[in-house]
Parts: sequence; structure tokens; C-alpha cells
Amino acid sequence: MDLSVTSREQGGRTVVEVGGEIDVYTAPVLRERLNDLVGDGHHHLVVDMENVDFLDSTGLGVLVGGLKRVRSHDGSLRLVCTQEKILKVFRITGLTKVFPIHQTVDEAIDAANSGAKASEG
Amino acid sequence: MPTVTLTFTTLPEHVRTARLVAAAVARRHGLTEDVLDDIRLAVGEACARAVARAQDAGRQGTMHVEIFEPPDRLVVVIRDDGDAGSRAPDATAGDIAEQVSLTIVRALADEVQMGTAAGARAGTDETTDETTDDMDGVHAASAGALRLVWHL
Repeated sequence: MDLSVTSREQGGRTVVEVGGEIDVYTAPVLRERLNDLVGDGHHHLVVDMENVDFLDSTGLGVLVGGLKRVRSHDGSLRLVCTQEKILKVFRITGLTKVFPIHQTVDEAIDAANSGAKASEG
Repeated sequence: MPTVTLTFTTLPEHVRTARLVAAAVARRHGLTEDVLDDIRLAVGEACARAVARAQDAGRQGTMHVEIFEPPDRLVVVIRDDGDAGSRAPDATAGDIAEQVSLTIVRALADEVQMGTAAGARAGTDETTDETTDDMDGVHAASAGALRLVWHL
């Protein structure tokens, strides 16, 4: 299984670090981990994609599912991604309009916290 | 005559192998890393689509990936034995996933052709695109087969 998922608390958010390849085979593992985190009460997620080597439409679907799930708890899901090959998939599918995408985890957390007073996401 | 022919059961774990082989063949043509990323993603999406078609039909099937290297082009044909007609009742979610995969593939390859059901029945290489030069030796275009072309 070429996918690793770890999480930690930082700045009042849950940072989910994903590494390796998110594809039709490994995406279910990410889905399960995101569902577990939301189920455990972590509703404000920052998904760090900087160590992701590959992302396909199945992976996009899992992230969209995660976004919907946290939003049903008035939560949020932001992404950290600077790799062009990964950003390209979001761009092609129009999902850059759906996910807030940041250059660093710190930037994502700052944006989340400064936006906390206004509507989230 | 394809340079490479891969045949897999339509299990998700095989999709990675297919895209790595396509990238390895493409790499020999001196393409830049971002074009190789495009090829890897496009072939991966086409194979993931074959897996989804088999899951929709409720059975395990077979997918074939053939890589041709005519002069100045790289051609990858992805076929599966899924029958586009037999969709599961929840066809809407499958339709959306199919459209997302095709959107991605069309954005990444220089040319994309899809085999038609009529072509498959007639045993011809009929495709939905006008510029068919025959599907490089594919015997009969399977319904829903994808032919991806990159210009070198």
C-alpha cells in the first residue's frame, strides 16, 4: 500500500499529512481515515498534500466526500498543495473553486483562524 | 503491432502497474517530466474507468492496455470487456464518475477517441472522432475503448 496518513493537532486544527499515491486502490484508506477523524470530533481539517506523488479522480472524490462530511458538522477542510502535477487535477475538474488551497500548513491555519469569525470555508 | 500489451483483471491494484509501464515506455522518448505526469494520470484514469465499469456491471472483468509507438506519436489504447449497456441501477453516480474521468483524460492527452458500440458490433474500428486512422491494429474497437494519443 503506497499511502501513508498521519494526523496531529496544530493551531486548533487537525493537520492530516498524506504521503504517497492516492488512486483507485489506496483512496479507500484515506476515506476511512478522514471518516474516523470526523467521527472522533475533528471537524476542522487541514490536509497536507505536499508529499502526495499521485492523485486521481477517486482521490478527488474522497476529498470531496471529506469536505461534505465536515461541512455537515459546520466544519472545514483546507488543502496545502504547491505541486503543479497535483494542482492540475483540481484545476481540470474545477475543484480549485471548491477547496481553499494554501501553500503551507501555517498559512492554512492562519487563514482558518482569521476566517473563524466570518463564515468558514 | 503494439510495443507493449498488458492484460489485467479489473482490480484497483493493477491500475498503478499500467500507468507505471506507460510512463516507462514514454520516458524513452525524451519527454519532459510534466508530460510524463500527464501520461501517467491519463492512463491511470482510463484504467480506473475500466475498473469502475466492471464494478458497475457487478462482475470482475478484464482490461487491456496496448501501447503503440508509431513515428512521432505515443498511442495508448485501453479496452475492457465491460458492456456499456449493463449499468447498475445507481447509474447516475457512475455516470458522474465517468464524466470526471473523461474530462481529465481529454485535458491531458493531445487526442482522445472512444470506440463506439456500433463499431464493436460491426467489428470495425469506428470511433467517435473523425480523424480515425485505424486504431493502430486494435482488432475491433470495443464499446467504450479509449485511444489516447500524445504527439512527440
